[in-house]
Amino acid sequence: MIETKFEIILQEESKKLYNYLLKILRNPEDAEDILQESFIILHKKMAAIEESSYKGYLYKSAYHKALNLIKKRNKKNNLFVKNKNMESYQSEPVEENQVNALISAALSKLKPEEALLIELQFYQKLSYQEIAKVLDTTESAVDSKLVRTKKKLKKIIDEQKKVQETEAKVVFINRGDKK
Amino acid sequence: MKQKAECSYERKLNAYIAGELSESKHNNVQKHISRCHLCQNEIRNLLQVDDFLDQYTEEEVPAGFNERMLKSVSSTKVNPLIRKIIDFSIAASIVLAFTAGVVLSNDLYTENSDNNFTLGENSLYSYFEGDLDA
Repeated sequence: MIETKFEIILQEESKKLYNYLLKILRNPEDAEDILQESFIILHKKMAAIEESSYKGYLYKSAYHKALNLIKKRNKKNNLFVKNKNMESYQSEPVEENQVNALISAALSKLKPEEALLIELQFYQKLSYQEIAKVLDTTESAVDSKLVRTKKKLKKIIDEQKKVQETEAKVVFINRGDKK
Repeated sequence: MKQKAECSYERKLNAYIAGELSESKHNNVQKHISRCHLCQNEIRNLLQVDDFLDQYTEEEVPAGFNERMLKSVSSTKVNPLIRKIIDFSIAASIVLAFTAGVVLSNDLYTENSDNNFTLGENSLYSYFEGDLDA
């Protein structure tokens, strides 16, 4: 019985959870490792938790594992690892991933809990009530946090655009110099 | 110092876009937006964020991930019926080994019943006896 339920949630959620982890970790190997660990934890705990909480449990454990990894990365502040991670991420098809990389870059500038809110509301299409259940908070808290997070995200996107425009100008000037 | 103009409806706009408001509140906000430039501007900002996020193209999970996952959890957890069979087999083997040991040693004692309490020639003691004496 539990095995069947596990198989169903694995088929339904593995891709979504993998993409959430890719967005915040920006590294396919790390995303896969945490994806695997999160499903193993869920499998162990399934007998003890309600079926309606499976998804929330899965995302919470993935979030905490990702958070630990981000903290470790920040502590190490190892440029070599960062560059290596970006290389492996950029080895995917280019055009699609440039957009994905921009979105990931923007989301990674948010606090991890803010990125989780965006993930649950925008990508997973959960209602405020469902998000509140996952995060053990109230609907009004979800609402006000989302408003703040979207404002923050808007600023980040505007800054990204400015940087892109400046880079485009530099490329244009450099081309002019070569002629 | 110039203060940024704000509207009390502003914080309801995300819930409005997300369809989280009741019908009456939704209609109320909708009416307000039609005559408030601040909120119209804020709605544009929120929609820009949504459009930006919407461009994300989902990537596939690494090939064979789900299959590997199913295999790994099924190997860590043995089916209860199989577990019972394994436990029974272990218990049966122990009983069988013990019974065989008792029967075998009875045979050895019977063979050598003429020599009082002398272990049989085939016993382990007899086997090593020569070596020990040597």
